[in-house]
Amino acid sequence: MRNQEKYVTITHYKEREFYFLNHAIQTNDGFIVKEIEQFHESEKEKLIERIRLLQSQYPNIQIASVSLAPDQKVTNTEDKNRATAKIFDNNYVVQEHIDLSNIPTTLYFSPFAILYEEYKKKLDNKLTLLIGLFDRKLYMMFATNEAIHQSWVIGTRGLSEKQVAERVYKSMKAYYKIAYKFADHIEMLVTDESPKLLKVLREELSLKILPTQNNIHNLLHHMAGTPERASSSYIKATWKQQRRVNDGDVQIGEAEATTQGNSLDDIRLSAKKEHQEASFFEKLKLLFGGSRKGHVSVVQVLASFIPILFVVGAGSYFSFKNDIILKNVVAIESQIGAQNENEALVSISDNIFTAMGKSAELKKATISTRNVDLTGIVWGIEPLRNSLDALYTGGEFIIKPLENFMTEFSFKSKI
Amino acid sequence: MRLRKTSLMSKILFVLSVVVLVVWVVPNMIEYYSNVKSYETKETALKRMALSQGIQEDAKLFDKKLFLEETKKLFETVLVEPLEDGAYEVVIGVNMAEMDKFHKFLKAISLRYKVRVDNNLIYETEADKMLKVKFTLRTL
Repeated sequence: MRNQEKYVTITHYKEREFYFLNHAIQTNDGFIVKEIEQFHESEKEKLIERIRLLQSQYPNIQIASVSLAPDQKVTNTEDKNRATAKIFDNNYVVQEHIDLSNIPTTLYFSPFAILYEEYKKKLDNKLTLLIGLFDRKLYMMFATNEAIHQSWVIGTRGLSEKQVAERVYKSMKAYYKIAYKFADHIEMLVTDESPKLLKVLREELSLKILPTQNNIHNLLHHMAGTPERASSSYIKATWKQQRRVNDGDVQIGEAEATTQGNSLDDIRLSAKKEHQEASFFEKLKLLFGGSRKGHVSVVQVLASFIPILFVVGAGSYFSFKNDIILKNVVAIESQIGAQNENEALVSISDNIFTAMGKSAELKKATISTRNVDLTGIVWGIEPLRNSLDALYTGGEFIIKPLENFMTEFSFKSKI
Repeated sequence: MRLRKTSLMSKILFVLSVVVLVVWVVPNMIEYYSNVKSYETKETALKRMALSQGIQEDAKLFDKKLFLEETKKLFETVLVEPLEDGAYEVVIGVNMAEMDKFHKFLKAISLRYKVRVDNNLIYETEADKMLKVKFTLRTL
């Protein structure tokens, strides 16, 4: 079979400071596992390059990983504000956020989902405590064939086997206080060999525990083996980015998704859409949050804009009104200017006609406030000359005898 | 204490508001009220001019038809020809004995209509002691 046709599952997860990578060829009879590769956390880029190389070699792939976050719990309601995966008819795994650290991943599982997948056929109407040991954490859930009733995550780091067993027992007692039921038996899935823990648990709980041991890679290869299996229990399938907001610190991770068929349609990362919708206002709120970690309300953000809005509003109002009044001032100044000019023109015209009086008769005149140009018939030359000279000193006064014994005059004021 | 608790962005916006207020709003406000006062003064002066010519009402926008109608009540011949850019050439026939009437008309023309007379009057004598006065009006 050529690479193009092979369905390959790539699995990776981080335990302590190491990334573990594996891939397997999926066949009708199960999967054929290749060698496990290990990368130190400082070699993350190398890990990503290796995954990219596998992607280029096998186009038909799924990249599966496991969420080892301790803040997971199983609920019977879907939480739209958190990363959610449906793992049972009425059960969902919910966790605060998903942090893939930019490592390509298409299928992301919860240990609870892996536990359920492992033991779902064994469940009946009797209460069973399912325990998964993943990365030094115990993922526990009380389940029947009807539902998952309760879940806990217990960290074992720094604790002795005895202390861990006591905590498991305390969890059982806590559940008894809620439901008045003890687990009838315990199923345990361990990903690391831990015979001492098993021994102590058996002693502490006085119950027969049948462990199943498998490594995380194999469990993930199994989960991603068929689209039907994957679609029943994934935290997410398709996402471009997700955001983690923690005390104002924003981290953005990116992952690619290559889903197959309709296998993952019912899986949602409910928080994604809400984060994207709220992103602009969240950014705004962060800007206004300053160094305080307290809640910044919409009212506080809007209130900060009030002074600048008020000032800009007032400025715009006065600017607009000023433009209008300025136009009115210019208009009224033009009218006053025109009126003053008219009065000056009338005054000059009146003076000229008064100066001519009965000494002359006008034939043609051009009058302005700057100069005058007159032509007419004159009868009293000296009185006219004197009158015009009194008005326009230094003007050019010319007389010209006409053939009909009359005398024509012309006068031009000195410019 | 409250100010210390306020976020940096709120403080920046507040400072920006004060700067805009001082640099833009207050000068605009002062200029506006100064212009209002100037307008009121000029309006009073214009009204006083109008009253001295016996005119009570405000100047109206120039309308050729109305101007002709009103001017023909004063003078025998009135011609108005539109020129370019809102200008009109006006020719009025005035009896030499009634020059005072023409002068009074000319003195009040910018108070009755929103117009300006070009600084150039042309008089030409016609028969029977009639003067033809030509001038140009420009609408304001």
